[in-house]
Amino acid sequence: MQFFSLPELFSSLFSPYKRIVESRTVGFNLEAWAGVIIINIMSRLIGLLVRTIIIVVGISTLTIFTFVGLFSYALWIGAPLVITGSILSGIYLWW
Amino acid sequence: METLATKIKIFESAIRLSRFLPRKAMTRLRYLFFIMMILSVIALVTSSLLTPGLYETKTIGLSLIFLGLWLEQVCLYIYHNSFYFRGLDSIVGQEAKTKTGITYEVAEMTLGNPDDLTGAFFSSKIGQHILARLNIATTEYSNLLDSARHKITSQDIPLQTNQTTTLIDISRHLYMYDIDLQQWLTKQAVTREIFQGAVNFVVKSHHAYKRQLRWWSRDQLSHTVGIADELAYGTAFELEKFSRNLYDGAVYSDLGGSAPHTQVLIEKIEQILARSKASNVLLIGNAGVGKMDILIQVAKRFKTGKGLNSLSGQHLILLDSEQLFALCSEPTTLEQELITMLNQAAEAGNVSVVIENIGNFITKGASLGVSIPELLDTYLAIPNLHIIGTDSPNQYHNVIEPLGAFAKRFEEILVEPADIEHTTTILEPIALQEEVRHKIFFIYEAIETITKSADRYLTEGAMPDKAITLLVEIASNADRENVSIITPEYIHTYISNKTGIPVGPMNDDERDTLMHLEDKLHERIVDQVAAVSAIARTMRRARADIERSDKPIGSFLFLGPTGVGKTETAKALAEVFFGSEDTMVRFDMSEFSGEDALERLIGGFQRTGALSDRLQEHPYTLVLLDEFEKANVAVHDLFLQILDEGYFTDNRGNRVNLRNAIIIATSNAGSDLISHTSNIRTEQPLLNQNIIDHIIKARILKPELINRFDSTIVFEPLTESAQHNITRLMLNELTDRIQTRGYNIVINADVIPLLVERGFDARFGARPLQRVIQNLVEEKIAKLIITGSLQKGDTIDLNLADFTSEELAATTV
Repeated sequence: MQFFSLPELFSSLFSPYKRIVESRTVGFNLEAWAGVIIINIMSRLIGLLVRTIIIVVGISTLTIFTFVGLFSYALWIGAPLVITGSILSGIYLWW
Repeated sequence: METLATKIKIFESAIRLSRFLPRKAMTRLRYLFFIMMILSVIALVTSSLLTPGLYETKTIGLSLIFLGLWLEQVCLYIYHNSFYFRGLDSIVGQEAKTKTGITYEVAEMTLGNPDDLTGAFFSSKIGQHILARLNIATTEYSNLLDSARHKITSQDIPLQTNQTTTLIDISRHLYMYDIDLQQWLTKQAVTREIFQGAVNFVVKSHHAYKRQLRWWSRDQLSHTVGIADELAYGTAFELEKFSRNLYDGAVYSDLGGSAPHTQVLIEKIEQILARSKASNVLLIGNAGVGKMDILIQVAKRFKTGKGLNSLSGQHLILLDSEQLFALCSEPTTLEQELITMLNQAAEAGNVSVVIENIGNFITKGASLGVSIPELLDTYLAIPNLHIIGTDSPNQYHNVIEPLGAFAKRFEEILVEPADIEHTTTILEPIALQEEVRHKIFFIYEAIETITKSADRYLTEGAMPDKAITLLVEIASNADRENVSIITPEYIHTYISNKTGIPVGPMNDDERDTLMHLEDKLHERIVDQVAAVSAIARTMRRARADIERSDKPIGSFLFLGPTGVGKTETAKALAEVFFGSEDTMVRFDMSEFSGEDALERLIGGFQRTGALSDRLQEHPYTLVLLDEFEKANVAVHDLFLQILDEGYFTDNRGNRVNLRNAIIIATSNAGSDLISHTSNIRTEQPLLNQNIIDHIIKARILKPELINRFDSTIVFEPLTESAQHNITRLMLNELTDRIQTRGYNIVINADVIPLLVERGFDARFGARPLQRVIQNLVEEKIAKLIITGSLQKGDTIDLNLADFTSEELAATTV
């Protein structure tokens, strides 16, 4: 969670990418105004895209690790059986 | 109540396992089985590809065998770890799941011999290491174990309910209750502080090693930085060109960050930075007190998520002002560059800009015609940009404080130099690093000696920095000299060579000088037996190190009429103690009677002080304050502090150390009384007290000032025989001087009564004698040389009869 900064990514999902924004100029100028809006929307879209990719990768990794964890736990519980089973069957096959 | 005996039971099986299969062997086996398993799998794949159906069953079997063996070793290792790392969190200061119990080392040690914990303690691996740090030979320790003594068992040690018991706690208990151990350690010249210090050092470094081993611990994993932290914030591209991240710059620096008083400062900085208004910090402290180290700790806390939540993701960016000024030498470029970088930093939202020596930064900006305070002012009010400045007290007073409103934008935090105990703990990890680098070994007491010596004998810089520098210097010096064990004696020798002041145990010559200090002083001082003996006694106490070390080496008030040997005594003492009378600095205090006296002594706004300058250049010196009573009251008050604390603060805010100086103040006050009562002096101390009372009553010196001197010494008017002896001494000095020019002169004793008669004066004592000898004897010899009557290599006898009546008449001037 901390490695992928998931809480931060969720809370800033729609924020501009790296806070890159254009500020409005003084006075009304349609061209400039449209430019600012487009750049800011683009920045937010890029931000959304990058964050979504990292969130997906992060959640997938977390899921994999959860299963690995569960498997390790099961292995730990069944260790005596697994270890003796593995060694004995190994000896049997080798023989 | 639970005792050690009940708690060790759960560790028994794990410890037995490690006795049978040590952790190192466990690791080797684990690696071996893992490699064998991989090789088997490779063999399986290869055989199924090359010779299908021939060896597959066998290689599968082999793989399964090694898989089983490897898994068994992994399980064993995990099982052992669950005991080995137990209780470790409590050492780091983090919340542990269980706050009770004991550490693995305590259990391992106790199981070694539960019926004799002292024996078990010193026989354990860590105990042996502690003995080595204490510089105690194994034979000595065997003597302790073999002796008949009361033994402390595991049942005698109760456990605390709210903390994990470590070897440090056990050692404390053993020292307190095992009287034989105490006596044995005292015999080995190991005090409680040194014993406890060495135990702390060894145990804590062992815990640090264990924490490193446990890479999966929360502590270690928190060092990993989130990959997307940066995405939530902007980037200050312009600032990046002229700065570096404080965290990246010194990842491994951990100086003083863990000490309690720095912890308070770190928390305070965080609280200020978390504010929505006035979230700027100004760290004030002399160079070397560790201002940057504190900021590095703050940066580390932010990076590892240990800081306040509202500050997570914050970066401490150190502005490289040198580079900025070098590249932006035009005022407009500098202004533009600063505005751009601060705007970007503010937009980024997670930047705290650190400006080192902010006073210099402002002055340098001003020299280019840029008013930095005005420029920064807007940014100091922005909540999402923090500015952290550092500076020395002097620069703060001179540059920042006069700016008024600008200074108020910052919350000031004063960083005091580390104290002795704290400095030693800072030195410990550095000593370990140096040990590895130079293949040397520090006795624990040596580390403590370095701290104390740095504090006492090194006047430049502040603690802990000067102690660290000294340790590093000593380590490389020892490496060069092929010294492998650093003992306190080695440190003393190094300090003596470096500073020229004798420290540590005395050598035979020095011991001889001190024991016969009276005789040595009497070679130059005639009579004044009481005065000389008082001085000698004080100096011996000082050198034996039983005096308070936070005062000057010695301080004396010499009372007595003019010309009785006060100055001469000071010179003689400087020669005996510091090796040369040139080490004496003399101040005529009658020149320091005006209103500006204090400023002239310790410096003022526009000038440096005579006393502070001299002491910063030569800290090992004898300060002679002639006619002390004539100095301004403010000067007397300054010496009240100096005599008591051994330092004063000069105009630049620097501490000037007088703890390695001898202070002698002379005064003619009460000399009439001294002269009048000299005939009836039968009981010296009583009469001395009368003279002191007289000085106090006449309000010449304050009683508290007189009391601050180590000793007030009354110099007697010279008796006739003393006058003869002084004359003899001065004539000897003259003949010696002339002998170095190649002439041998023997001055007959019949000249002496005449010289005494004309050279001594009731008011000026022996002061006119020098002039009389000059006018009569030196003049005569000069004539003999010029007329050619005395050639180099000749020997000549001078009698009273050799002087003409004109020559004799010349001396009566």
